[in-house]
Formats: sequence, structure tokens, C-alpha cells
Amino acid sequence: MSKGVLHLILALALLVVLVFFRVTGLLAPVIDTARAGAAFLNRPLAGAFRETRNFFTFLGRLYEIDRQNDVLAAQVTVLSAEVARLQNAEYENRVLRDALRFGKEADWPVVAAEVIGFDPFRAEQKVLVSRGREQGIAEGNAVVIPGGAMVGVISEVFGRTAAMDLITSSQITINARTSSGGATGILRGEHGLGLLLDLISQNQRAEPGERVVTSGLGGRFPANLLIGRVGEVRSASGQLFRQASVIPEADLHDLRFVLIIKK
Amino acid sequence: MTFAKSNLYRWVGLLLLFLLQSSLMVAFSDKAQFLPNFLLLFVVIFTLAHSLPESVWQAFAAGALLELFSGWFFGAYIFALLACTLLIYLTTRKLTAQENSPGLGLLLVFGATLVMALALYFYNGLFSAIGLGPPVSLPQFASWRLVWAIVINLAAFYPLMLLSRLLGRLFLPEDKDERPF
Repeated sequence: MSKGVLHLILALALLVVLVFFRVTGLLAPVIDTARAGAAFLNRPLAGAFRETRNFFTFLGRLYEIDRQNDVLAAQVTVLSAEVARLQNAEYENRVLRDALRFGKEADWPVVAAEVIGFDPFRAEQKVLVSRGREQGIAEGNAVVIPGGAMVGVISEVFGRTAAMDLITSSQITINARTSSGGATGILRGEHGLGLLLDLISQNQRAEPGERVVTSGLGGRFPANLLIGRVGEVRSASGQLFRQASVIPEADLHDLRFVLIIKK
Repeated sequence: MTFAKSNLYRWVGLLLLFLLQSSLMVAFSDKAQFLPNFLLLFVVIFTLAHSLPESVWQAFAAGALLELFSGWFFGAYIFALLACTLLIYLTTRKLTAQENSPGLGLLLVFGATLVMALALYFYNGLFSAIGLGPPVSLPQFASWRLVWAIVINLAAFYPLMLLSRLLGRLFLPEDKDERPF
């Protein structure tokens, strides 16, 4: 047997051993420490690349920025009036809830985390975040972005880092409903290509553009987390259920900071 | 001394390429399809100029680094890069009788990118079949992303190879056998 083939066999044998250690959990602390170290070393480089990107993006968008500034200035006036109206509605809501003894709305304990790594192929729709067991993170925790839109679920936890399946991953199923309550179903990721709201009863209605939120059924995830909006509704005669495509609310390709909801 | 120095530079170079690739992925996450796979290209360049034993362990190390931020079942990238190394070695030492040429280099990059995708699919499919990993589907791989990956890797191959030759001359001027072409 040639030397090269022998080395190749040794390498494959070592791979088998490492896979065994990984499956039994013995390799987890090593991987966790290495990830934390790599994320630490990456930070200055990633920051420099981000600044360079922002600079060139800014140069390319100067005209658009100026135009948008005018539009946004007009919108500020409209939104200020809307904020005042909503503040009044919030006050009324609080008064009514106290009156009916509903209690305070649940405040979820959250942990802020930074996205530290992506798989080059991205096919599995999994990302890594900079918080782990030491910060109270557990498998199955829902992950949202600032703003409240759900982006994923924690699938694997280490000491200081964790892996998160994005909502478009084929591993994810979520009990969901439309915000109007007209339709309920099971939301599934489609191998990173999109979201599908499945098992909608034929006598329920889902309209394109409607918001889709978590229903809270089963207690896995908090209720009313925004997921996305209904795209296209598919219904065929003779079938028991309808399906609807759902467009994620968050831009899953541009995640930087996320909030992990602790159970 | 030259051997020890060249070994040190290789490992440091590998680590720097990994940090470059991972930090670019974080900074340009929405443009990931436009980023070359530097570690795959490093494995191609290295295997063209070195023996199979050395190439195997460099590929193993490169795969282990990629595993840190991998979304696949553990070991997929190690397996894929070992497969690429074997492909390149067999092609350049056993199948072709000609000297390495620029055209052959590009063909090898094309083949290595394809083999890497196939090896990842096969590896994950195998472990998924025995219930150890998530299921994978072929459309995840046979898509426009793979085409882009091939194009970007082809575009980055020669600049990276020229850079490695330049650094080789700068840091190891006495070692003239480091060139693949």
C-alpha cells in the first residue's frame, strides 16, 4: 500500500473517531471554544469589511438617500400623529385589561446575541450565535430580531455559542395563524427556499398580504410572534386542506443581532 | 530549517485564509454566493504541488476549520475536502501525462467545486438515512448557487495562486519547487 493511501486511510479513521466524539458530546467544548476564539479574531476583520462595504454602499446611494430623506421627513409628520393615537389606544387597552382582571401582558425574558457564523453553502439554513448555555439558552428557544419578527429556533446549544435553524429550514414546524384569525395551520420551512402554511382547513380564509403569527398552540413558542405575510394561497378541489406560501417578514440573509426568547 | 519554515507558513496561511473567509461571510452575509471558497482553492493549489500525504493532512485541517461554522453534520467538510484532494491528485499524477497547465488548473477548480457539493450531499444523506442528521434534498445543491460558486472560485483561483507563488518567493526564496505551474 502506498504511503499516500495509508495517510488517506488514517485521515478517514481519524474522521470516524472525531464523529464518534462529536455524537457523544465529548468534542462539544473544543468546538465551542474554537468557535468563540474564531469569532473573537473575526470581529476586527468583519468590522473593517463592513465599514468598507458601508462606505461604497453610501457612495452609490447618495442621490437615493437625498430623495428618501425628503420622503421620510413627510412621513415623520404622519407617523407622529399615528404614535399619539397608538399611545392613547395603549392606555385604553391597559385600563380595560385591569378592569377585566386580565393582568399584565407577559414580558418575555430575552438575551441579545450576535450572529457569528454562516455556512458557506447556506443550504441547511443554519447560523451560529454568540450566546449559549451560560446565558440560559436552551434548545427550542424562539429567536426574533429587534422589532419582533421571528427568524429561527435554537437547535443546538454549547457553553458560549449556539446553532439556530432559520424559519425557512426544513427542520422547522410552527403552529401558526393569520393575524385576523381567519386561518390556522402548520408553518413549515422549505429547505431554505421559503415558508409554507400547510393544513389550512377548506372553510378557513387566508388572504394574500395578511400577517402570519405564531398561534402559541402546544406551548413551544410564545403566541403572536410575527413570522411573515401570506403570499399565494393554493387550493385544489377535492383536497382536504389548503396551502399558502408565506413571505418571511425579516431579511434572513442579513442578520447581525438577534434576540433569543428564554423559556 | 526550510522544511520547518515552509510548514509553519502553510499552517499560518491556512488559518489566515480561514479568518478571511469567515469574516467576509459575516460582513457580506447577504452576498454569500459572490464569495469564493478560499480554503477549497488552497487545497487545490496545495495538492497540485505537494505529495498526497501532505495534501491529505492539509485538506483535513482545512475541513476541520470549515466545520467550526458548518451547518452540516459534523465531518462533512473534512470528508468533502479529502475527496477533492484525492480527485486532484489522481487527475494530475495518474490520469494526465502532461505538465500542469492553466487550463488544467481551471478544470480542476471546476471539478473540485462540483465534487465538494456532491460529497457534502452524499455524506449528509448517508447520516440522515441512519437518523443522525437532518434530511437533505438534491435541489438544495443543484441550483444556481452551485453555478455561482463555480464561477467565483474560477475567478479567484489564479489571483490566489499568484499570491501564493509571490509569498513563496518572498518567504522561502531558497525553495524553488513550490510552484505548481
